[in-house]
Amino acid sequence: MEPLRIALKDLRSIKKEKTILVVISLLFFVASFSSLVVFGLTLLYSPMGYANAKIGLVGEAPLFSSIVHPIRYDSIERAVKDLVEGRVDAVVVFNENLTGQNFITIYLPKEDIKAIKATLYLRKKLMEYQDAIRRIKGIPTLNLKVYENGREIDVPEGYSLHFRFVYVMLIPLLAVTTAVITSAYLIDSICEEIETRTLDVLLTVVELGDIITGKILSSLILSVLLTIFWMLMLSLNGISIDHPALVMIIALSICFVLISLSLVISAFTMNREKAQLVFSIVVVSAIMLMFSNSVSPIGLLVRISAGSIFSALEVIVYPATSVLAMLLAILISEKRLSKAIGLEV
Amino acid sequence: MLRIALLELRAKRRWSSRFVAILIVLTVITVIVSVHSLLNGVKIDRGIYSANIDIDDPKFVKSDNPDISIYDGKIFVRGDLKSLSAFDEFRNYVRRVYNEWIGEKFGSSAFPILIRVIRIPTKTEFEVSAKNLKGVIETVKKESEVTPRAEEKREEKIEKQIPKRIEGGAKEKTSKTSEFLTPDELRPPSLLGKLIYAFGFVIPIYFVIQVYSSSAIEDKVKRRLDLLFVAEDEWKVLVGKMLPYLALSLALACIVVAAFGKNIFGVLFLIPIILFLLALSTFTAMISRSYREMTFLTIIISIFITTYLFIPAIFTAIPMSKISPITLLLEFLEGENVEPKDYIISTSQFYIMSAVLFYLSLNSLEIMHSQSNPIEKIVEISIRIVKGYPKVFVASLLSIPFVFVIEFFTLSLIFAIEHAFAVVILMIAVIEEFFKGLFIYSAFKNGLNPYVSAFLSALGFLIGEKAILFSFIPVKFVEFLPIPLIAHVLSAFIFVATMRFGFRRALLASSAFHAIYDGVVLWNLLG
Repeated sequence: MEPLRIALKDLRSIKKEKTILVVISLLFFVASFSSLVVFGLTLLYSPMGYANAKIGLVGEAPLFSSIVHPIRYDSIERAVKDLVEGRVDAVVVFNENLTGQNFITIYLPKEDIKAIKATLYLRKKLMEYQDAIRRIKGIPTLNLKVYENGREIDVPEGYSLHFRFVYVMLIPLLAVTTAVITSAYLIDSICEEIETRTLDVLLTVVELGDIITGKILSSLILSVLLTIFWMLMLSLNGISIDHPALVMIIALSICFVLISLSLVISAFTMNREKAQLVFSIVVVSAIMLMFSNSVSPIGLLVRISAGSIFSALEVIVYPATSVLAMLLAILISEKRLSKAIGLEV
Repeated sequence: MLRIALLELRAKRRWSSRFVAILIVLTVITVIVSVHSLLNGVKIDRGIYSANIDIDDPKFVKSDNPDISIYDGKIFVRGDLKSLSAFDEFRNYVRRVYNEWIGEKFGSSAFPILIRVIRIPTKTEFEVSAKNLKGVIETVKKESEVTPRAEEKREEKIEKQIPKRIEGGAKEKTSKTSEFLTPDELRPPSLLGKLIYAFGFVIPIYFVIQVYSSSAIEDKVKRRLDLLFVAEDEWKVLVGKMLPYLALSLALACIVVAAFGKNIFGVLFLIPIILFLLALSTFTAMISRSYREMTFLTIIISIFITTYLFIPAIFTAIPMSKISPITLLLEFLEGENVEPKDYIISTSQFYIMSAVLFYLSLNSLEIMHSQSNPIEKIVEISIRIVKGYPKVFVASLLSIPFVFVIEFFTLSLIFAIEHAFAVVILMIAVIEEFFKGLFIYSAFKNGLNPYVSAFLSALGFLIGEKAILFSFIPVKFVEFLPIPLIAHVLSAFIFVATMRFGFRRALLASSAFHAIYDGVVLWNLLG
């Protein structure tokens, strides 16, 4: 019961000090920043986005013209002037050579947003053109046909970006942000008790182990609330998450690992400033490693939420490991703190 | 001042040498891990798709209920986001294999198209500059003169390039450095990549600022600042405390710029940001009551600033994007000329904000230990400062960069919540009226005529607002100026008239009017 009471005390102070508002606005920020990018991506990579790019051509290129239907110019200067003034989206300069190599110079707007439209369009058309020349040369071409319900369909290039962005970036990012926030919160809450000497007062009525468990419990409750918050936010934005309960468990195991880390760091530094500094350096490594390894709880989180294949073993191993890490962290930090405080008192 | 700086350095020496050693070791490990991870790339997409057959790509696994099914060279999909994405990525995989194969079989003749891309600045809707165009055409002339002569040599070069490219196979990245691209390699510029690149410059600075703000609040809470103020001028103490961190951030910025192999003058774009963050941390340390309140304010404000710095850098096609020094920094590092005018406009806001925050910090010293909340403290400080009519005008004028930062964040929320237009209009009205009202209220508390102050506050606000806007958009909208002035003055008068019911209610009344006015104007503009 003692740990629970301590956890509730901490949570009340979160409510009082509006800390929860920061946390929520941080997640909100991550989500809104990402939605902005998703919004941009869907707009730019939709087939409508690049259906009608206007291409200028300088040079003789009959086969190219039959594929792209460009606007003809007799000088580069005139074509580029129109590009600068926005009458064409890109300018292509070359003389067609159906037997040898074609060196094509493409003038594109420097401004990224404008260039994306023209680049995507040109890429598609130039690949068609390349295939046409290859056929003339007798080189086999690649022709992938894709069917949905027995009907042939066209899937725009770069279509997967949206999917990747949501499941391989946004969801991992939200899970990691939650874990970092709750760990940083644990550091604050433990170090503050040590630095303001309220820990000594608490110790007269509660065991050290119970205090630590209580602190962890409050971070854990915070993690659960935040995870529910971002999952709801995603579903309100129309992003479906497969197996929400499992996603929750894996997201929480990521929190567990970082919280254990921050607990040990707090116990060893016993100072908020030092602990936060050490934690922020260590957490960069931890996150980098989790993203760049295929064996990683984040990888599992990605697969579960995207509805991909995962094994029951994985779902057991990660949470179990994180619970073990947590128990170990509690043990180590309890030992360390009792020794440090014992010496001080 | 230097004495204080040395004192600050010595205070950090309270850190035992063992702790410093651990920090260094951890930093080295982090750098190694980061480099390793960046080289390794993101691997968490392993096995996210499934197919009915084995595909030699880690993203795919075999499954009985696959995202894509392949029979007789035909591919079948379900039609949902994941299934179509699986096809898109499968297509990329097949193309890679195919390119390797034809490269081996047919050599360079399998790649009949080689592309060279030249990027040129184009006009945005608002900009008309004949000088630009002339410059562009001249470079184009030079480029096109070179083209025919270089052709033959180039062919030899290409012959050498292609086999390399094919050997590279899956490692497409290595070929990106080459001058010529095949159509497959023609990719749109990656907005996200640019963003991550820009973060690389700012993140180390954030770390230093974090240490500084911890130190500042600790000095305040433990009353060390009070002691220092007895011995030394107040401004010297504050500047002295900042100096080591300023030096450290600058050094880090230089290292990062150099590590990317870029022009060291790029640091010039980061200086105003560093100064601003330092001044901001000082001010938040002064007005917050506890560590956690400080963390709260710091995070909220960092979010605002990060949005303001980075979002414009993505949307470089819009003239307003030059408002962020990061946009200019990226342009500069890519080797383009940044016009002095743009540099001055975008950085001057940060210099102004730094100076204002520093001035506010100096004026908050007497109330820094008071237990009122941060907003109340801001009001108290404003009352201490706004003691004459000219000050009402200047305060309102100088508040504009702050208003812009907050409004920018509000605007970016539109993307997070659908149909949030009305909410955003209301929020913007509240933000603007808060600042205008704050100075009117302060002037009134100091015994000035509220209506005269209201007019001055509205005028200062309008001039500041339009000064920034017009530096990016040509002045063809000037004829509309009297109307916004009347609107600003009217809402300020409403504030004065309702002020006797309290600050909050007056704010509500004036904001309501302001929001309705903005709504009507927008509705008219959008037809």
